[in-house]
Amino acid sequence: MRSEERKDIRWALLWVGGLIVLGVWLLLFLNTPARIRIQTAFLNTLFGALVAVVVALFLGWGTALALHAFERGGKRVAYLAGTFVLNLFRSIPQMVGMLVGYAVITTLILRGNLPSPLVQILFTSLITALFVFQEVVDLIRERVRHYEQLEFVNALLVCGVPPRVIINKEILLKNSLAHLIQKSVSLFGRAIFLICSIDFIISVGLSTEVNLVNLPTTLGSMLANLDSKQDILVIGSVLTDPGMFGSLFFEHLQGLSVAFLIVYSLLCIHRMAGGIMERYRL
Amino acid sequence: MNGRHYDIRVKVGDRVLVDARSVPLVKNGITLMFGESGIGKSLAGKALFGLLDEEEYNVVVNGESYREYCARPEVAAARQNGFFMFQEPSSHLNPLQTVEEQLCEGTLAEAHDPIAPVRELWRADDSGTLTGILPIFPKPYRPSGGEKQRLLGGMAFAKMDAVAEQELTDHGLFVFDEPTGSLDREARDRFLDRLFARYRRRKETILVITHDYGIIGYVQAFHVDLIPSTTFCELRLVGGIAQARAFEPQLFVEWLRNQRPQEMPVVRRPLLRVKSGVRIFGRTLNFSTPAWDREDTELVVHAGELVYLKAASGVGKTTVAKIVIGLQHAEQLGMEFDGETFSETTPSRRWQRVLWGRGMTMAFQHADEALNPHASVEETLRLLPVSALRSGEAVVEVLGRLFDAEEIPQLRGRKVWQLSGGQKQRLNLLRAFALSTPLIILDEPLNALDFESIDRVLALMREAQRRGQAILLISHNEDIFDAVVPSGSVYLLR
Repeated sequence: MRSEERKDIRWALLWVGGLIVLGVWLLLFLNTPARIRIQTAFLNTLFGALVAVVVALFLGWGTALALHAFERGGKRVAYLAGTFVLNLFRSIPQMVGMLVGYAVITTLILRGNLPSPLVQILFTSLITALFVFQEVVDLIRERVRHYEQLEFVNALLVCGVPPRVIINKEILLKNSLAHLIQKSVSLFGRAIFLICSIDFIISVGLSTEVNLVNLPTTLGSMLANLDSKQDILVIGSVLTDPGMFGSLFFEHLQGLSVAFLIVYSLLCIHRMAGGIMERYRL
Repeated sequence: MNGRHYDIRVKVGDRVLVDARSVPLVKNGITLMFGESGIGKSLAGKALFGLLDEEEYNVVVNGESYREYCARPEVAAARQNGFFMFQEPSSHLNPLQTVEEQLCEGTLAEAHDPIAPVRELWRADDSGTLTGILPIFPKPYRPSGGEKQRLLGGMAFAKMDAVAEQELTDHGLFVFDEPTGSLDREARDRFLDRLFARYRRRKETILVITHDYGIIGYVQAFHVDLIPSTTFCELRLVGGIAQARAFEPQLFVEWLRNQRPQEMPVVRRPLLRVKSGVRIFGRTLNFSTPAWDREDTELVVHAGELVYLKAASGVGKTTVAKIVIGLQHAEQLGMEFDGETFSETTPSRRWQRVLWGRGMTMAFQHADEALNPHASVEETLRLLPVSALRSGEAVVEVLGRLFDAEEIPQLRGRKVWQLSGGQKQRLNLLRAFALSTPLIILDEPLNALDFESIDRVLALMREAQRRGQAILLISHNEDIFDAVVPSGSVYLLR
């Protein structure tokens, strides 16, 4: 394999390497409470994004199969209704949809229905998944349509192999795994971006009811934290006072680390998704 | 071009595409090269002709770099005065020029009448078809595969005529890669007659790459004078190397002579009936038997019978097979299978429930497209709804019907995309036979196979018949199946 065909692995290693270097740096130069907050925020964000991807995959897979079954089975009303609901979700801008979803979470928290941070993260992931799973549906439907035009699907059908086995095993698992992995990586990056953005927006004051105290800490909410904002503002000061540059890496670590984690992770994940596309020529 | 044997190695990066040894090419003679597909016959032919791109491929011919080989004066002259007829006719014709423009293009225009050689390949009473396609821009569906193949054959002949008319001292190399793959026997024989007539006029170097072993019988019967100047060889894969070996034509002729139809049971039970008059794509398809002299009849397949459905290329043999098995919807369908009636209003679910994998199955024409490239050989068989195939021993037993015992251990885990064309075709056929359905539809079962595999496939068909399975067969290999199928089981499709 040529080195340019391993870009995904290279970027994955770079990401992990960058995180390790940052972790060591924070261990040496950042106070323990702040470091633990960053670690928790980072892990919460990753976990939330990961769950969002898993939910989006299941939701997308199930929806795609249901629509396919409605279409092939001649159930026109069910097919049109399913497509309508799907397009309805598609028509809502992701950010707006997620804000509405957070409003629901806020209500549930205020009513005491979401007591533990874990459940709150899972709900956040579910909301995120609802606004990205359409891409999985589109991918799976496109793959199934493509393969249905090929003779091997007909050849398997006339051998008595059930259509569900052909679609799930032969088309999706054996012939579309790279596509699904690439889509999952890409959605993972998108989910991190959405979770951070929404948490940041909420934390800077869209809601008076929900704040850092009653929502699990994520990188987005950490970025909106007052200390972090001050750290970020120092970057601007460096432009007018270059002598402060050195202090960025020792005295303003919290804000800079959170910003770095978000930007660096998004960059690496984006490049990993691109690398998978190149490697498998998707 | 010196007549001799060639060792040809073609690589892309580290991957060896072809490692062919001792490929014969007789100067001013005819070389008929047989062998299963996917082992490098076409690539070897292109390498010899000097067609491969040095930037893309790393080619070594007889130890020489490709640049050195192509720069040899005799190779350059052979290419300049020769022609390469591609296997896939669609890739040879330019969709942005009319057929007529392409027939008169470049050095072909040097022939006295470049269209005349093409006309020779059409039946005299069918010349209107050619007149109809001359002004069109080629599309994937028109001209048909057989027509495109004849157009390309005609181009090669025009080039031969041009070289002969100019009385050039340097002879050309004419490579015909599967020139008759889409032709029925009549069209194939016409093509061979015209090719050999040109060879008699001027001895060019001719390489014919083909799977059609029936050509041997035709040469033996009608062009016996050319046998001294013809080399018959077969390319066989031995340990990853495609080794060319002399093929004794008499072996095939004797083998063909010894073929006998499988005896039918005394009590004949009709399994499948399809009425004439099926309509699809605005055309009506009718069946007749040669004995009844074109009178429409019903296609009837009895249990244990091998029925051969014949038609000229493009008439719709595969379409009929797909209609019977329920993959293609047709109007005015009157079909009965084992007492159950199927018509144009029968929902496709019924075909699926009653027939697919239970009543009948089908081995498709192109194994390349009919198999999942990312499934392994074992997975391909284990996927079948046959409980007996759950065990590894059963898979080995099934593979052993068409593969050598020593190659099976390696083969089981290999992905379909890693197989040669012949191996894919054997797997494609084994999948159909492993189901043990009362009826098997075989669409071009001998495609891509070498002689040994053909013999094994025929044995497999006979074995299935003995077990009471019926076979509906579609094939261009008329020379072989005319010997195997009793005349009462042959139908013509019109």
